[in-house]
Formats: sequence, structure tokens, C-alpha cells
Amino acid sequence: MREFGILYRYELKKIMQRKIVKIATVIVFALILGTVCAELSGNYYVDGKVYDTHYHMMKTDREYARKLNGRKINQDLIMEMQDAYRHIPENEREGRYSLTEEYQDWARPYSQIYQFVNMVMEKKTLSDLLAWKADENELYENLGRRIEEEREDAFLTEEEKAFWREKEEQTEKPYTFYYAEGYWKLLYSSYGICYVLLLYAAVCLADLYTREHSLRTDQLLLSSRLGKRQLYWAKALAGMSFAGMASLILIALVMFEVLFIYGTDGFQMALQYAGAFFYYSEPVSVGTTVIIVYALILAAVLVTGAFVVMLSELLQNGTAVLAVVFGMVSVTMFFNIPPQMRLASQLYAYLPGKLLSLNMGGAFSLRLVRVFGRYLTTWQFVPLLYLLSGAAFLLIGKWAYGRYQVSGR
Amino acid sequence: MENFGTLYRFELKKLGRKKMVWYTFVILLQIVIVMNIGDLVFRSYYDEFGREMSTYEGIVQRRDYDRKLSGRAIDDDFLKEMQKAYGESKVVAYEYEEDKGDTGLATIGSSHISSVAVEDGRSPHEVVEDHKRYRGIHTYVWSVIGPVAAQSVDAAGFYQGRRDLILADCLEKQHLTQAEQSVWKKKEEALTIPFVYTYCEGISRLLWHVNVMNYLWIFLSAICLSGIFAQEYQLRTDQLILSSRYGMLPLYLARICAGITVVLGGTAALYAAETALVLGIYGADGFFAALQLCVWQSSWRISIGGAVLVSFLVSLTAAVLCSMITMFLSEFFKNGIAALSVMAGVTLFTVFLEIPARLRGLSMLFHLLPTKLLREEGFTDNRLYFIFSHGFNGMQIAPFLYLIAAEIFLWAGYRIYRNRKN
Amino acid sequence: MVIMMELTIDRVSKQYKNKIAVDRVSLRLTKGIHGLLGANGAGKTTLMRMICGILKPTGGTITLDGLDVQTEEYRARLGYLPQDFGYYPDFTGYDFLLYMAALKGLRRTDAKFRAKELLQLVALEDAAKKKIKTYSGGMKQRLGIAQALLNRPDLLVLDEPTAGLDPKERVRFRNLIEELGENSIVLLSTHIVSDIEHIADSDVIMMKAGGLIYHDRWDGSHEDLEAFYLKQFEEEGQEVS
Repeated sequence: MREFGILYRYELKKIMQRKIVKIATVIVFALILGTVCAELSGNYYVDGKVYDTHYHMMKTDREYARKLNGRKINQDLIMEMQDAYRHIPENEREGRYSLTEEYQDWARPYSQIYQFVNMVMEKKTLSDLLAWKADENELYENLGRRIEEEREDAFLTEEEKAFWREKEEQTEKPYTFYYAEGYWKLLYSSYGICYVLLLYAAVCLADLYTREHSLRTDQLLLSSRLGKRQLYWAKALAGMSFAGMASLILIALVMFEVLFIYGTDGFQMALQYAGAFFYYSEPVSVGTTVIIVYALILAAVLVTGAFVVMLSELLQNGTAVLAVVFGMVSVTMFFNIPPQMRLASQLYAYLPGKLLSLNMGGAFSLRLVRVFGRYLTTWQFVPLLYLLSGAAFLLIGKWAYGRYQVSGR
Repeated sequence: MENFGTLYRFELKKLGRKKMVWYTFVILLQIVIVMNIGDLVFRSYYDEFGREMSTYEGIVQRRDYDRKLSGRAIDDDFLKEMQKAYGESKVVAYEYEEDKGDTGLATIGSSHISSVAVEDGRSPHEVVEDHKRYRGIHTYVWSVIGPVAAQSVDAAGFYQGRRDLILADCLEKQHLTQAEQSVWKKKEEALTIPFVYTYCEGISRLLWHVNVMNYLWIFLSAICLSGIFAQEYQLRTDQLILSSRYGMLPLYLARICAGITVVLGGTAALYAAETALVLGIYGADGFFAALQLCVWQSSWRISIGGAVLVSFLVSLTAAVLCSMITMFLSEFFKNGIAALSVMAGVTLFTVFLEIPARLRGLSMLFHLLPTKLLREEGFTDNRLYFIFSHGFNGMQIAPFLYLIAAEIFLWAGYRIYRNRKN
Repeated sequence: MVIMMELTIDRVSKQYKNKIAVDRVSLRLTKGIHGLLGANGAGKTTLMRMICGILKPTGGTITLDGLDVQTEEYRARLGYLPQDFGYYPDFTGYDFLLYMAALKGLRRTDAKFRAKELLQLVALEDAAKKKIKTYSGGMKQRLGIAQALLNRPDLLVLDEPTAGLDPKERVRFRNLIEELGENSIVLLSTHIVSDIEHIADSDVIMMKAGGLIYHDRWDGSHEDLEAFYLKQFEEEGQEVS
């Protein structure tokens, strides 16, 4: 065990000494931390003139939203919102009404409620929404209808629909509003952060094993006592733990940065409040979802690390390994498998890049997996899948490593 | 240069012997194939009556209907016909019902008409048939001015509405200067109005797919060429090469030419495959149709086919630039993985990154990158690059800039290559 | 307890697609120096790689006191210096030895002590804290020799160990090998015949086209080894000068 620990530390040292790893780490950290809140920098222009700063606009919206903390999105609040928006002159309602004084003075404090109600009722214009007779029951019935439509479009089985209907009954209605912009921000940034971290893991680990062959140190390593078994595992563990630790540190810094700027309130806001998740009937808060999502990112980085370890030994070519990973990441960014192809699209959704797309096909997909008689949602099932896949990748890599022979030089 | 041809052929041979080059090309080719026929094979299509058919049958059906409209000017008469076909039949209820037997209406989902209230005496079948007949023009008008206006607009309103939308977009998103606005207005006035509707699905798809094709040839370049100089260093053959008579400039140029040849060849082959598939499935109609039928926001006075050719030519110059950059990085880092990481990382990064238009200079420079320029937006960006008081848009100036930049990377790379001896 | 030291190579072969690199070689090597001579392509390096367990034979077995070549226990008793071996450019000489010691299963304190001892032995103490990429070819070779000796191996396999060493360093090396040969099996391949000739009581093994053509003690009473060696490779009708 002690020997293993020593080997592990040396392998970690070898990874951290590499110039490419150092540069990639600096770039990734700077990139993510520098851009995650970049939209708050600079000014907001209207007709070429400075109207406000983005940061001040965020603060203003935050103050307004906080005043609504804890209020139920019910008949009273909907009517209040409509009354506030009715102050906007009729002739301005189809144009850039957000620039009017009336909007700034009356309607803006209710903008988040407006967005939610408009999302549910799918009104095309502000006038249409104001013409609608506010009805809390109609709002939530419409929501329910749209949720059912999403279930149809997802080609769910009857058992799956029954599962979600049961979950829907557990969600508290009407929703209670909380300002939770920090958590929404973290959630919507997770997709990009995940991609960057997957590529970062690939760059750092692509030649973890192939480098020994190119440097010709493999002869010494493979002929040493621990070189055929312990060394493989020490290397793999060092590689994966490096990628994992770097990702964890970065995630922590991102969370700190975002929540410091936007605020930590709203952990308990219902996930279903957001347009991107309205269909997801699990009674889970946005704060919990953020924790789940970033834990999934970590899991994705680790399984990608294991995959890269395996490829590194199978392909014997670091460039090829990187090409495969970049290729897979790119394909998941641009292509989808039609939902009618149930199994293929469901498996595709489990790929690390696709999983964090956070929509119908991703971690919060409506599709379920039956494991030992119990239905698991995607985000519950995937860690198990990644654990098994990761172990399989490492074992395949070990097999390839054991078979390697030094010849042809 | 003596022996240049021999050196060039050997460098090509070295690249050709690399399995990764072939694997990469084959995989990218498969992506092109799947991109075009994937939907045909794996998706089903349900028509307005709820009947299931293959996607290809759906395409053929739409094509046949749309072809019947080809050649018609989008004028008041045409718009009125379209509005009559769509206008009075309000869909008042989407009901989930069981199959109605004789009517052939089945439950598929909310996007299909299962219950239609008609106010002009047409039967649901007639309504749906009319929808199919005018679907092409309806979709086009709707995409320009929205569903509400599409139902009542006349020709003058349509064309003015289009201009107003483009102008609003230009002012808000592109921050056009006065000079640019007046150039844009002149371009708009030069367009032939009314537009002539033409079925142009195939040729339009070639233009829409340019964005994805970008990424394919960039990856081809990055994967195939990232090790071209680095491997000499890793294999320790650089000592032999640099000490030989033609090992400096002649070999360097031969290698560069070989790299560019491989990438250009691969790019051309991918585009050829893409073109064959798309035109084979959708037809080659519409090559000479106005670009505005495909990219309504564009003010270019060019056909869709012309725009496709322009995109292809610009792609080729961009491929030269990307090959050059990859090879430069390969020499600079002496590490294929580093070169590939930078190329692929920057490419993917540009997918997520956007520079606000208010940072005008930076934004315009950013939008000259192949991944930002070579898409439909390349034909809608009205910002101009002024050279000797003559304004050029991105698509016009990019090829020259790409080649100049490629030359800069060429000589910068040579400096590093030459100094390796030290 | 007396530990027997015998390396048994029993009808070992290595065949590639269209070539037999090593053809049914059988040897029994005990404590002492065994010089392996042969032309380029004779199969020396292939044989040595098989003995070190980094290349699998197509046929035959290799054991050290009954331990199969693929076992960890075998590798625990092995020291190997490959021809043209690699290193980590950013490691210092000392770091490299500690890393190799870890791979050989030495405890940390023992590793530190042994590393320092060997650096002194190969005259690299002054360069111990410098990065290997700054070393000359000879220094790298001496570092390679040092790493091979870390675990006090019972079986020491050295492939062209004196390549890159100057004459003075070669003499030092020969003396070191003679000492090691008293307690270990040392198999040493070289093109420099004098390296073996001047080591007392060494075995000479000659290979040609994958097979053994000579294996006997070389005690100096024979003719000049180099002349003898060249005679073995004389082609028909041609004199090898």
C-alpha cells in the first residue's frame, strides 16, 4: 500500500510537471472564471446611448425580485402583475416597452412573475397576456396540460407517465416564488463548464501512457517489479484524481463567484418554475439541482478520465486519443438522435456531454430506467452507469497495458 | 527548387501512411452521410392527416407541391391566395381522439389537425390540401414577418416589413454606422422586387450546412496536421533532416504544401459528398433563385447557388489558413497534442463565445473567424471593412485576409523551424 | 540459506510475421559475467527484452531460480539497462532514481540512501539536483547504470552499457561489473569486444541470425577475442577485416 502511495505521488508529480497541463489549467481556470459572469460587465445601450450598466440592472432586478420572496404565484400575485403591466401605455405594448418609464416604475418589479405566467400560458404578445382573465386554476391546468404533452413527445411508456403523475401530485402548488438567480445562473452555465472540463481532462491525460512509449521509459517501467500492475493503477488513479481535483476546485470557485455576485438566496425555489424545467415533476429545489448537476459534471470528468486512460493504452497515440474525445464531444454538441429511437436516444443522452444539456434529453429527461424493480431517473441512474463504465474502461486499459510488448525499436 | 517535387511527394506519402488521417476522413465522411440521411432512415413523418410515412416520402410530397409554386412572383395575388388557403380555417381545438375511421384522422399529437372548425365551407380535407399546396410560400412569409402579419399582409407591406426588420436588427445588433446604413439601403434598392418564389430546399440546405461542414474540415486539419512537425522532433529525425542539404526551406515548404493538399483534398471530398447527398435527396432546384428566399435577412444581390459557391471558395481559403495555423502550432509546441488541443479548443470555444457588437472592432474581427463567418449570418452582417474608402463585407474580404494570415504563419513557422538548429 | 542463482532459458524463440528474431535459444547462466556478442540484427536485444519480461517469447520459457519471467518476484530481482533508454527531461537525476526505486519496491529511506550511494558510484553526485535534460550523453548513460543497480539485482541485464562512455569511464565500468559479477548474474551485450575481453573469467555467448553459435568461458588463453569473434562471422569466400 505504501509502495502504491509513493508511485501515485510520483505519477501525480509527472502529470503536474508537464507544460501542457500547466498551460491548460491556467487557460481553463481563467476562461471559466473570467466568462461565467461576463454578461454583467459593461453597459447596456439603447439607440447607441448608454442606458445603464449590466451589473446595476442585475442589482435592480434582484432587489425587486427579493421583495416577492416567499409569495405564492396565485391569483392575487398574477392579478397584481397584470395590473402593474397595464400601466404601460397601449401603444407601447408591442414595441420596446421595457424602455418606458411606466415599465421601469410599475411593471419591472413583477417581471419574473410575468415571465413565468407567459411561459405557461404561451401568449404571443403582452397585449394577449393582459387580455387574458387571470385565473390561477387555468394557469396550473395549462401547465399540467403542457406537461402531459411533453410526456407524449418524449415517447414515454404508460408506467413512466404514471410515475411522473405521482411525482406531480407531490409538488406543491401554487409555486412559491423566491429570487434564485445565482442558482439559475449556475444551472445554465453548467453545460459550457462541463464541455470545457471534459476537454481539459482529455488534454491532460491523453498521453498519460503513450508518453512512456514515446519517451522510451516503458522498457524500464515494464521491467521493474511494480511496473506491470501497481504502476498502471497508480497512473490511472493519479490521472483521474488530478482531473477530478482540478474540476472540483474550479467548480467550487465558480460557485463562490456566482453566488457572491448574484446572492445565495433562493436555494429552495422549485425547479419547475424555470421554462427549461417546467415539465420535470420531481419535487426538487433549484439549489439541490445545482448540487446534483455539478456532482454529475464531476462524475462525467472522472468517467472521461477513465475512458481516456483506456484509449491511451489501446491506441498508443496521444493525438488519436484526443481526436476521439474531441470528436465525441463535438458530435454530442451538434447532433441528436430522434426520440422515436428510444433506446439509442436514451443511451446517447447518457454520454457526458449530452447529459448536461439539461433539457428533455439530458440529466432531467423524463425517461426512466428500471433497476431491480425500481424506477430511476436519469440523474439517479447515470452515476451508477458511470461507475460501472469507468471500471470497465480501466480494466480494458489494464488488459491492453499488460499485453504491451516493447518491440520494433 | 531542385528535388522539391520529390520532397513534396514523400511528405504526401508520409501523411498518407498515417492511419489516423484515413480514419479521420472516413469518420467525417460518415458524419456527412448520417447528417443528411439520418432523418430519412430513422425518423418517421406524420402528415396533416396523421398518416405515417417515411421522411423521404414526406420530402418528396413537399417537394412536389412546392415545385408547382415555383416561378410565381410573391405579389399581392400570390399572397392573397396563400392567405385564403390558410386564413379562414381557424383551428379551434386540438383534441385527442381515437381514430375516426373514414376521415382518416388519427391521434398523433397537438401538431396535427384532429378537429378543425372551418368558416368558409371547406371540408377538413380540403383545408389540409390547401395548406399543403401553399405550405412553401406560407412558411417563407411566416418566417419573415411572423404568423399574425402573414395572414393579412399585402406585397408592399411584406417587402417593407422585411426591410424594417432588417434595419431594426442592423441598428440593434450590428450597430451600423451612417455610411454602412446608406450602403445597405443602396443594396436593398438594387434587389429585384417582387421576389420570385422557387422551390430551393436542396440548395438552401447546402448553405445551412456550411456551418457544420466548417467544423468538420477544421477537425480534419487539426487531427491530420497537428503532428506534422512535432513527430520529427519526437522521432528524433529532425537532427538528420536539418543537417541535410534541402532540409531547411525546401523541405519546410514541401511539407507545408503537402499538408495543405491533404486538407484541401479532404475538404473538397467532404463537400462533394455533402452536395451529392443533398441534391440527390432534395433536388437541385433553385440554384438561380434569389438568396433572399433562403436567407431573408440578406441584402446580397446574388443567387442561392452563387452564395453556396462563395461559401465554398471562402471555405477553401479558410482551410488553407487553418492548415497553416495547425502546422505552425505543431512546430511551435513540438507537441501534436498541444497543437490539436489549441485548434480544437479554440474552435469549440468560438461556439460559445460572442463578442457584443458595441465592441465594434473586436466584434468585427471575431466575426471574420471561419466558424463565425461561414454560416448564413455571413450573408446578413452588414458591417463593412473599409479599405481605401471602399467598403467590403466579411465574405468579400475574408479570403484575402485568410491568405495573408496564412502567409504570416508560414514565415513565422519557418523562423522557428530554422532556429531549431540552435 | 544459500540462494541458488541460475537463469534458465529453455528453447526460447521469438517469431515475427516473416522473420525469426530468436531461434530456440537455450542457456543456463549462473553467477558471473556473460558477454553477449553478435552482429546487428543477430537477436541480442530481442533476447534481452524477453529475459526482462518486456517482450513475450513465441515459444520456450525463461526462469530465474524457478521463478517465471512474468512474475513480480522475478522482476524484483532484475536490473535492466536498455539500449537507448528514455528518461523524464524535467526530473533531476536524484528524482529519477527515487522514482525508479519506488517502482522497484524499495522503501523510501532505503531508496534515498541507495540513490545517493549510486550517484556517488557513477560520479553524478554534483549533477544529482540538475534536470536530466541538461546531462550529456555519458551522464545519462551513467544514470541508466545507476538505476539498474538500485535494487541490488541478482540478475543484471545490460544492453550496450558502455555506449557514450569515454575510455576512462569504460574502465571504471568494467571494474564495477567485475565486482557485481561476483554476486550476480550479469548479462552484458556490447559491440566493444574489449569490454568483455578485459573482464576476468567471463562467459562469451555469440549469436548469429537468432541462434547461438558459441557459448563458453573466455579465460584469455584463447586467441584474441576480437579475431575469434570476427572469424565466427566470416562469410563464405569473404574475409572479414
